[in-house]
Amino acid sequence: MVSRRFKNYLYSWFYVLPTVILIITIFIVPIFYNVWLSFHEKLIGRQPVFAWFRNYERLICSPVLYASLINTFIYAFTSVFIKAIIGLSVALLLNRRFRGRGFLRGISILPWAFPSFVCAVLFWFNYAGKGTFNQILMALGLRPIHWLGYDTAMFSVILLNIWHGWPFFFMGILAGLQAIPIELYEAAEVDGAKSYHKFIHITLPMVKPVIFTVVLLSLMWTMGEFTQIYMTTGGGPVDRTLTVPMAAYKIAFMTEINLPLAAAYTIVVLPIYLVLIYFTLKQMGE
Amino acid sequence: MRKIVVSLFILLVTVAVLNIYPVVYAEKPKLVIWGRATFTPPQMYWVESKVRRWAQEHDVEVEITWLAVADIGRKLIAAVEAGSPPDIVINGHPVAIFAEQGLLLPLDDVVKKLNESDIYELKRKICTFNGHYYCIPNMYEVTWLHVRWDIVQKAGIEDMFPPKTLDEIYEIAKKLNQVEPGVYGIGLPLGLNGYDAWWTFEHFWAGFGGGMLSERSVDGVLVGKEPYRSGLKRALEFFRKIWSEELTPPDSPEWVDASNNINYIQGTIAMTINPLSIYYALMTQKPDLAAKTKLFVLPVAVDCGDESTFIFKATKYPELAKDLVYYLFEDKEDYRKGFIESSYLYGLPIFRSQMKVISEQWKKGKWPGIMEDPMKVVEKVKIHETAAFPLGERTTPSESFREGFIWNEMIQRVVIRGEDPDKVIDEFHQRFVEEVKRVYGG
Repeated sequence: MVSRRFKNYLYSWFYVLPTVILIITIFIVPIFYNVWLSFHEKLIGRQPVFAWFRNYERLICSPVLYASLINTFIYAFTSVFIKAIIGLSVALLLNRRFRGRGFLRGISILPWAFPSFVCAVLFWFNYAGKGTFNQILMALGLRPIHWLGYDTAMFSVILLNIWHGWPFFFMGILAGLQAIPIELYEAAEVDGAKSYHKFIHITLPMVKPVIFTVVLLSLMWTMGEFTQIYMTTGGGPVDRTLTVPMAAYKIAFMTEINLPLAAAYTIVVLPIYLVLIYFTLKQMGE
Repeated sequence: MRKIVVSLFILLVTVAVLNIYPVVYAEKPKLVIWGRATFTPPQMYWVESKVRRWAQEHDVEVEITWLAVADIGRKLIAAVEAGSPPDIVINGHPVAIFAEQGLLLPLDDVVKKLNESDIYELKRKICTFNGHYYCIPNMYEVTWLHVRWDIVQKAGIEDMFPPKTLDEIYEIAKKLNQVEPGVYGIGLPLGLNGYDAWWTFEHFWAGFGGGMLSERSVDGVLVGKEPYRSGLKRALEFFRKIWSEELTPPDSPEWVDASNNINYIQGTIAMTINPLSIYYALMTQKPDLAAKTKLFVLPVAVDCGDESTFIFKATKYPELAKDLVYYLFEDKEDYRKGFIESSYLYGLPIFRSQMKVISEQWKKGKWPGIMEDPMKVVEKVKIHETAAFPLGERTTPSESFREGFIWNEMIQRVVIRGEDPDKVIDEFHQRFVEEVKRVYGG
C-alpha cells in the first residue's frame, strides 16, 4: 500500500517535472542571476567585478529612484482609482435590462481588446497638435492643449491607461454583480429598502472581493506598464513620466548603460511588487 | 523482447542520421549581419544587394537584420552582454564602447587596401583607437540649414542668408516666425529620446566655445571648466530663448529623430537644421516644396555620420567578414552611385576621389537647392557627432552619454523646466567625470 502511494507520488512529480524545470530555468535562475549581478560592477563585454553594496549605495543616493517611485505611485494609483470608478459605474449600468445592452457590453470591451502598443499609437493621433482632442477643444471654442508637455504629460499617460484598462474592471465587476442572488434584493424591497440602501448593504459587500481582486491585479499591471509610456513620452519630458519600468530600462540601456545597476534597481523596488503579489494571491485564494 | 528490438532499432537509426547529416549537408559558413536602418531606403537596398551578391559568389549564408535608429545601440549592447553579438555591423553604432573594450577586430589591412589617404582624415580619426582602425565609416552626414525660401522672401530677409554667426540663427528665426500663420520660425528638436536634440545642440555648444573632453582622463573633462563652461551656458541660454519665445513648435520637447523632418515636410516650420534626409524626402515625395527649399551650411556644421561598419572579434569567420567589408567599399564608383547619390547626398562620400565627382556634379547644377559646394562643406566640418570635442575622437563616455540621451536631459532641464544652468552644468560635469573615471580610471 505504502509503495503504491509512493509510486503515485512519484508519478505526480514526474508529470509536473517539465513545468518545474521550465519555471526554474526561465524564472528562478534569472532571479538569482539578477541578485548576483546587482553586487557587481561591469563594463560592456567585460567580466563582472564584485562591488559589495556599491550599486545599492548609488541607487539610494540617486534622485532617479525616488522620482521613479513617486511617478509610479501617482500613475498607478490615480489610474487604478479612476478605472475602478468607471468600471463599477458602467457595470452597474449595463447590469440592468434594456434594449441594446448586449451591444453596449460588447463595445465596452473593445479598448481592453486592443494591445497596449495599438492604444499608444491611437493616442499619438489624439495628442498631436492638430489631433482629435485639440480639434474637439477648438470646436468648443477652447485653446488647444500641449498634451505631452512638461505639465500635462503625466495626466495624458494616465488618461491613455484609463482608456485602455477600465473595461477589465467592468468585466470583473459585472461578473460579480451577476453572481449576486436576486432574492437578496427582493427581500430588501419587502423590507422597504431604497436603491441607495440596496447598493450600500447588498451590492457593495457582495462585489467587494471581486473589486479588491481586480484592483490588486490592475495595480500590479499598471505599475509594470512599459509600452504605453515608452511609446508616448519615453519617460519625459525630463523625468516627468519616468516610472519604475522605464527607469529600469533606461539605467540598463540608456542613461547608464549599466546592467548591474539596473539589476540592483529591480531588487530595490521588488518588495513593492511582492507585497501586491502576496495580497492578490491571498485574495484570489479566498 | 519486441519492445527492446524496436527501441534499439530507433536508437540505431537516430545515431546513423546524426552521423550522416553533417557529411551530407556540410555546414556553410554563416555571417550574422546587423544594420542600422537609414532615413533613405536606397542605401539599405544597395547594402542588401551588395551583401547578397558577395554571399552568392563566396557560397556563404548571410542573415541581415535592419534595426531602427534608436534601437541599434541598445540591441548591440544587450547582444554583447548576452555573449551573442552579430559578426558584422553595417552602418551601425556605437563603436568606441566596443572598440575600447577590445571587442572589435582591427581593420588596418582593409583600410590600407582601400587607399588610406583617399579617406578623409576626420573619418579615419573616428575609427582609430590606440593607433589601429576598428571600423570603416559609412559616409559623411553633414548638417544643413533647410530654409523655406518662399517664407524668407515674404519676410524680405534674403540678405540674411547664409547666416554668418550662430546668433543670427535666432534673429532669422524671430523674423520668420508666424510670417505665415501657424508656421514657426525654426524647428528646434528638444526631445528627450532623440539624437537630433543632441547634435543640434552640439553646433551651439561647440560653436560658442564649449568643450567636452580633451584627453581620456578625469583631468581632460572640460564640460564645467572655464572658459568652456561659458560656451555651454551660452548654448543652453540660446536654446531657452528660442523655446520661451515660442519660435519652435510647442511639441518640440517630444520630438524624436524624424520629427523635424516631418514638421518641415508638413510645412509647420520655416527652417530646421538636419542632414539631407529631409532633402531626400522632398525630392522623392514633395518636389513642389523642394523647389521652395534652399540649403545653407551653418557657421559651425556637424558631421552626424557616425554610422560605421565593424566586425566583432567573436566572429567565427574573421577573414570572410573582412572580405565582405572590403567588398562593400572596394568599387568606389558603385559606392558613390548606390550609397551616396541615391540618397540625394544625405550621405557624402568618405573618399576624396568620389567627393571630387560630387563637386563636379554640383558645379554642373545636378543638386539644385544646395547652396554650397559639398566638397568645400566637408572640408570645413570639424565636429563629429559622437566624438568628444575638441579631442576629435570617439570615446566610450562621449558615446554612452549620446546613446543614453544624457545630454538631452541636461538640455530639457534648463530649457523646458527652467532650472538654473549653472547648477545643471555642475551636475552634468560631475556625471561626466564619473563616467570618465568608470571607463578610464583615475
